[in-house]
Amino acid sequence: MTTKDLTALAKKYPFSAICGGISLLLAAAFFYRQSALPEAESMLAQKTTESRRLKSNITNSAQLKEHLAALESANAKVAQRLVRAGDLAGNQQYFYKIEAETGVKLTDLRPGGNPASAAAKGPVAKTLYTSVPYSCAVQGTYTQLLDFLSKLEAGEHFQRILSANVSLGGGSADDAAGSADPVLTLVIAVEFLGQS
Amino acid sequence: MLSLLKKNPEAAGGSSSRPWHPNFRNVASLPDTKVIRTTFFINILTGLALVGLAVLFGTQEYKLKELNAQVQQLDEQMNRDRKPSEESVALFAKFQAEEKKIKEVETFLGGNKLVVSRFLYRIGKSIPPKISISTLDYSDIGVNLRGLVVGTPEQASGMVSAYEKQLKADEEIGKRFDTIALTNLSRDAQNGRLSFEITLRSSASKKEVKKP
Repeated sequence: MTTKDLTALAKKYPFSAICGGISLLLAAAFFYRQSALPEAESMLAQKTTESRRLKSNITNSAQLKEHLAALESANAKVAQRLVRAGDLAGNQQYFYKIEAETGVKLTDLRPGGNPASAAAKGPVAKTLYTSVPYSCAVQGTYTQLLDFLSKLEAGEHFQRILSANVSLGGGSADDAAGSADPVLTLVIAVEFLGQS
Repeated sequence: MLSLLKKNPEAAGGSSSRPWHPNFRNVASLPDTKVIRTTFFINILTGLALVGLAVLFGTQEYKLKELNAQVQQLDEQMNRDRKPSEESVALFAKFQAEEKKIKEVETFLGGNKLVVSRFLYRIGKSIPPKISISTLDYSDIGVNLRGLVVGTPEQASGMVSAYEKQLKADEEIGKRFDTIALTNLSRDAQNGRLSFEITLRSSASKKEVKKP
């Protein structure tokens, strides 16, 4: 079919020719724009997810300020109870204070922990706080030692007792066993929570 | 009438001989004499095709417009929410930093650690009259109790066994340790007393021991 034939056909059916032409244009536009639909859908899905994420951030943080304030307040209190590793005199004074309050006799007090146990623990992970180890030996009656331990455990500084050894303090075990309130010796290794 | 009388040369069974006179009609120039003209059908068909395509294209464009409107609406919403969301994220980062500090303190204090003063008090209360504890040794792996019993060997061994059971039944000590066992019982030949050793172990301390 030549162009001449087509022109003749268009002249013969003008309405159909116009309709056909417009239809062709519409079909071309339809196929051209068809890919825009999945793109727009994909964009909408992406934006919806993003919008939901933003909304959930806002919703979930409704009481975050109050919680943060509570945590900051708790951490401020923790900071007040931390031990300074370098403050040797201040730290030893803490022990002497408990000694005076409880009536025990502090026979040995040394900063630093057991090197063997420290090596066994392996490399130390980087932490916000540091541990300040002390080992001490005290002598006193059972009640005094209990008082000393209670004051140390419930005291101003955060601590953990790593090891403790209680034994009869002086003389033979037989003599001490016979006594009503024998003198006992308490040797402890304790770690305090300190500032890094 | 003429058409009825006219012979169809293409009809089946028709004569294959040539028509009796030549056909000089120009079919293309003759008017369409059908009741419903062919043009009508062609116009209807092309019209319907046009309408169909217009509906299809229109629907597609409408959907696109709706989607774009929704995207725009979401964009506006996101622009409003972005700043408060960023503030929340920053606040949460601060919260996490503070939380980390608290968790580190918790880890240091080690939740289920033995309270030595409380344990010593319980042990002190639990000692029967004829038994004395000479050494109490507490470490990561557990507690060792060493002591002496006064009495004849028969009575003494019975008392130590009863003490072991008493420790197991104790509300605090029994619950705190998984294993409470008498690990040593020997007689001192010189003074006739029986020395004993009781070990107290918890599953937590076992795990710690197993660690390389």
